[in-house]
Amino acid sequence: MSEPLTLRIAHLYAHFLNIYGDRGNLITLLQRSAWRGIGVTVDPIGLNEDFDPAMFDIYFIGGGQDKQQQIIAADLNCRRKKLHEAVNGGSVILAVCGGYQLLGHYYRPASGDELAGISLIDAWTVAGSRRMIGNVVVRRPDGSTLVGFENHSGRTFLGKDVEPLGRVITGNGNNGDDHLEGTAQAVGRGKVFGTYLHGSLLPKNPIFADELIALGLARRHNSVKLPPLDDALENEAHERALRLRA
Amino acid sequence: MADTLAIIAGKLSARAIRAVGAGLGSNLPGRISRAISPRVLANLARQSRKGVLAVSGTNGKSTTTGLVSSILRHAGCKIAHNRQGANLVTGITASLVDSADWCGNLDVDYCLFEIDEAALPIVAKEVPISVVLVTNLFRDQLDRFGELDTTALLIGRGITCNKSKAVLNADDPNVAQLGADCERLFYGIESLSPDNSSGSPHASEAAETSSFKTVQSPDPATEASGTPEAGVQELAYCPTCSAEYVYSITFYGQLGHYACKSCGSQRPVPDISGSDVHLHPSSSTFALGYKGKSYAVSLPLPGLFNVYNALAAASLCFSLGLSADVICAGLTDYSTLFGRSERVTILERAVWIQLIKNPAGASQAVRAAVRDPHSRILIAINDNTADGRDVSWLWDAEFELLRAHDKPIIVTGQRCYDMALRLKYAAIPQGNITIIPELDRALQAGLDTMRSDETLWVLPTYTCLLDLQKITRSMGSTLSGT
Repeated sequence: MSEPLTLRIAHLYAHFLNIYGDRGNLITLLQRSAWRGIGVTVDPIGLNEDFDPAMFDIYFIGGGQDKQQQIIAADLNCRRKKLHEAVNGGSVILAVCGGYQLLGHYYRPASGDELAGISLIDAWTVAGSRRMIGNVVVRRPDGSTLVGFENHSGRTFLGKDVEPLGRVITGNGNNGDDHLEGTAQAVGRGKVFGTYLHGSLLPKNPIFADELIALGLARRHNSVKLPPLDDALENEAHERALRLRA
Repeated sequence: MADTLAIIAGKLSARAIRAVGAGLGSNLPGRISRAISPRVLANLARQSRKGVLAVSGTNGKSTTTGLVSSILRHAGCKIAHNRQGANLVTGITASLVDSADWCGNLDVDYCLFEIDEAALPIVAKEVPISVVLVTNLFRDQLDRFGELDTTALLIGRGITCNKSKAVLNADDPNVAQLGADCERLFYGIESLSPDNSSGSPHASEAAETSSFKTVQSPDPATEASGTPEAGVQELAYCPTCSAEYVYSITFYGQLGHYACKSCGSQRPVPDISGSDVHLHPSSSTFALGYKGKSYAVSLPLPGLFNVYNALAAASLCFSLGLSADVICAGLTDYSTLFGRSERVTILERAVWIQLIKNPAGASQAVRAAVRDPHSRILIAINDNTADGRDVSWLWDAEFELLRAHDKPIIVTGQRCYDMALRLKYAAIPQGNITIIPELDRALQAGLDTMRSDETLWVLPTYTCLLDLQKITRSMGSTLSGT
């Protein structure tokens, strides 16, 4: 008889970075764990709120508006050490849009001061002149696809040793030029995922959602094989999203 | 001279469009008139004897404008009103061209415009607006404006441009901060009656926590009655010092009684207040307070969001100097607009139609539907430009409330699979989710499966609503706006 599985999720800046259906990603992680009998918790972590880097298996950071980005960037930099420690110790980070941008070295706006990121990945973002809005389809290195919706003017560039999440088939992705989207970068024992896809991202991408859950569980449990779920509805929604115009 | 030509051309094109039976809210006649005379809107609006009134904001524009119109008619005022909901500058021009005579004379006391948030500064530049009413600022169509802060800036510019009098929702921190250098009148809800389930009068907790506060497992039994509205918590922070607002009462979204603990700024004390709010399946009552007196209002609309709309309309009319009697009578006699809390009969079945377009509005509509013990529910989601192409907002709306519904729910429209998935993850049993992509078949199925004592609540996005109008017409139902 093995120990009961538990998954601890932290939702960073739940209150600020809460647009574009970020909630859908958490609901998905929550439900897909619960349906398998995994005891799962989601803890919101707000500004200036302390946390134990050894506590959480998955950290989620969503997208925000420009004004909040500044507040978040300042706060995130105060936790830079703890987040590095957490990922190096085996935690998984999923960051969407604004959150993704702050995981790199900096965000350079069209005017005004640069926002410092936490350099968890070798990447940087500069403000672009046009907003990239629309449906996106991404092919991952293993051949699977991700579907979502992007809405950003920041253009993110990855250093040469950083793994992208995948290549863009439809839409713009990281910067609209190099056809790359997001990042899936191993850091220490953990892994950092960043992406511009919302929509929400995880509900219609159940394979990716399960990958995150499995990686999160692996931090404190021995090798975990997730039992399959009935994903007929998820797959149908995914298939239909593949055919949406950009 | 150019104006007369512009008006004739506009009127003729409007007739031609009507003759071929095109949909409502066409902007073409306005576009034609403006091409001939760019000043036609200004020249027509200037003729209104008592002024130009504008209603803007994310949710409730059409209903609030309709309520104001009802009150003004009770007061014996003649008005020009963009009733068809065409709320961009071209549609507003078209509505005035339609109201004017062939020589370009406009015989009205007021021009009353529902104006799109982004169009407000454009219209304000051309037309001296006397009063601007702002209902609320929720997230809506972010793919169009970019961000909520941008929307607030646009509206603020629209108010200050003419130093208009501003009528503002005190309970919405995004709205209450607008027009600081203008004359302002605030409205807000003081209290709900303790017997109704909507709102969370003691939910300061809910406002301060995030969408989840350590949810152990999403078991319907434990979560359904939790803090369902906390999830739609909107961005609420102090504009002066960026600290998060702390709430003593939350009604829904970011609407409530808030204060900044860091700099002390807080919800303005409302000049016009709603209290003792009672919500019923198809109506509401509340006490309307103004200048130390209280008036009982009976509103033929369900849902707390409509109480806000009624308060907004009453406040605008108080600012014009109308009497409380006229205001209460106008609210009570209101007849609904197509698709905005409208009750219709189709094939001898009762149908409620409530437009949904963003998390806050959808949650309120769902809440009202669940409150009706005899409801059946149909949700129709499209992703055309007018609906918002990004359907992420479905995940921010509180469809978890439907766990209490326990009857099959029909989902339809271009993004019906996204909607079905949303319901599945809200822990609605899959056996209760019926997917019928075609709207006409979905509606027929809804009517076929309901009992005669039940009401079908149809919650469509905007272009689904337009389609629904055509379909119900072909089913022989008479609807307003057709």
